[in-house]
Amino acid sequence: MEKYSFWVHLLLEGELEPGKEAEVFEALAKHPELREEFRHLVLMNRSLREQPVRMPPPTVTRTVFDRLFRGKRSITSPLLTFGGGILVGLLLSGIVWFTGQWSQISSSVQIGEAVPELPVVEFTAPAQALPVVADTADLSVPVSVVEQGRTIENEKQEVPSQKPAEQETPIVEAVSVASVPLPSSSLSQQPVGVVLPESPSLGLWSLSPSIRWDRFYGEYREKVAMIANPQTQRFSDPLMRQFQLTLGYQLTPNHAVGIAVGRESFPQRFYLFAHMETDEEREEYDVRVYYEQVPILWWAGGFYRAQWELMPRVSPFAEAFVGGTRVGPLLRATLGTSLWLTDNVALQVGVEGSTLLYQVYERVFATQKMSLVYGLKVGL
Amino acid sequence: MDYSGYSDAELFGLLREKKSIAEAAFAELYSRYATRIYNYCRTILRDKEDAEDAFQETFAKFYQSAQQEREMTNLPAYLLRIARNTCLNMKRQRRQDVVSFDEEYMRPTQDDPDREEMLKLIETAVGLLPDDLREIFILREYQGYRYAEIAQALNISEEAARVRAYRARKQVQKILAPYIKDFAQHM
Repeated sequence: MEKYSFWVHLLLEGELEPGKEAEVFEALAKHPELREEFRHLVLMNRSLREQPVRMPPPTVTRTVFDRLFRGKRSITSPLLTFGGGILVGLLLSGIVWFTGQWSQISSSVQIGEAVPELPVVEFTAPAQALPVVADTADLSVPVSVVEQGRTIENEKQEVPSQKPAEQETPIVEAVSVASVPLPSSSLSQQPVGVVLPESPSLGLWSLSPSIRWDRFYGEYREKVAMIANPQTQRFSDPLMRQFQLTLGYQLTPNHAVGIAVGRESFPQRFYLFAHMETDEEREEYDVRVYYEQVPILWWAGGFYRAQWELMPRVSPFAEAFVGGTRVGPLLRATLGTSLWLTDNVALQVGVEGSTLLYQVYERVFATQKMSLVYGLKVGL
Repeated sequence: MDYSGYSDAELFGLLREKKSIAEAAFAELYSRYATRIYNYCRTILRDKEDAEDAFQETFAKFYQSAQQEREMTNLPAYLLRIARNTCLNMKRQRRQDVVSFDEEYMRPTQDDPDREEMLKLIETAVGLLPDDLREIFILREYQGYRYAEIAQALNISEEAARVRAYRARKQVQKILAPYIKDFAQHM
C-alpha cells in the first residue's frame, strides 16, 4: 500500500515511470483510501499551483546591479520604512547644509570606537539690531511710520516708494498708536511701503523687513527615553540627561519655524557580514553578526511647528523636525502643549518619536525611540 | 546584445568578460532565475527584509564566484545552493527567532477565500514540518525545482529527494486531514 501511495505522488508529479501507471490505476480502483489520498493530493496541488509568484522588487534589483556593476549600494528598505527616500533626501540636503555636517553624515559608525562629540553649533545674531517695522501681513498690528520728522498715519500714498536712495535716510521706528485705530480696508488695499536704509551690513536682513524680534523665542527641554528600540531596550537609560535648545520664530500665531540643537543617546542595533569558510564542506559564506551600542550624539536641525490656542494659556502644538547627527540624519515628530505662566514664559510637556538613520559601511540602519519631553519656553 | 539564446553555461563564462558584456550576461541570468531565488528566500526566511538581504547576497556571491574559472553544469542548482547557504546562515545567526509574518505571503491571485484558506492551511502545516522535509517541500512544491536540481543543491541523490518530498507531502496531508475533507467536499 505504501508503495502505491508513493507512486500516486509520483504520478501526480509526472515522475512515475510509464510502465507503472496501469498498476497505480488498478490500485486506485481497488483501494478507496488510496483514492481519497489521490483526491486530497489533487486538491493540495491545485491550491499550490495558484500561489502567486513574487518578483524581486525593483529597488532590490537596482541594488544588486548597482552593487555589482556600479560599485555602490542604494538605500532600500530602511529609508522606505520612513516614507520615501526622495523626500528625505531633499529635506536632508537643506538641513545638512544648514547644520554644516555634510562631511560627517556619510561616515560610518566604528564599532567599539567612542563617538566624538559634535562641536557646538553657534547661532550668531546680526550685529545691527533691526527696528521693528510694519508687518503688512498682520493687520492686527497698528503701524506708524515716521519719516523726516513727520508722522504719516494712514497716508500710504505719501510714503515714497521709489528711489529711496535719492532721499535722505528715513527714520523708521515703531510708534505705539494703539489709540489711533487704522481702517483695515485701507491697509489691505495699499500696503505700507517701508523703506529701510540701504546698508551693506544688513545683508539678507534687508530682504526681510518683516522680521520682528518679539516673535523670537527660546526653549530648553529635557527628555526621558520611554520606549527604546525593543531590540535594545536594555540599553535605555531613563536617568540619562538628554536635552535640547531651541531658537524659534513665530511666523503667525499658529505657525513657527526654528532651529534646535541637542544631545541625547540613541540605542543602535546593526549587523555586519563576517566572511566565514568551513573546512568540512569547503564552502565560503558570510555570517551576519549583530552589534549593539548606545552612542550619545549631538544633533542639530530645523523644525516646523503648528500650534493652537486650545484655551487661555494652553497651546497644544505639533512639531516636525529634520536634522542631522554625525552618524546620519535625524527625523522627529513631537506632540506637546505649552502652559503659559506669564505672557512670555511657558512650561512645556510632550512626547516625541525620533528616528535616526545611520550607515555602517554600505548598509543603512534605523533606530527609533520615544521620549517624554518637558521644558521651558521663553519669548523675547 | 541579446543573450536570450545563450545557454546558462555560456552566460556564466561571459561574466568574466569586460564589464558591459558581463552586465548584459548577468542581466540575462538574473531574468531567468531571480524570481525563483527571490521566492525561495522569501519562503525560507519569511521576513521580507532578511529575504531581500539574502537575495542580494546570493547574487553578489554568485557573481564573485563566476570570476574564477569553473565548469558550470547546473546553474540553477548552483544558485540555489548559494541561496540556501546564505539563508541558513542568516537563520542561524538570528538572535531572536521572531518571524514577522508577511501579510502578502502566499496570497493567491484569484479572489477565492476557500483557496486562500487552503493555502494558509498548507503554509501552516509546512511550518510544522522538520527542517529537512520543509525545505524540500518548499523547493519542490513552492519553487518548482526539478528533483535533479534539488538533489544537487542539497547534495543528496535524486531518489532521496523524491522520497523526502513524498514524506513531506504525506506529513502535510496528515496535519491537514481534518480540514482537507471539508475542502474536498466544497471544491
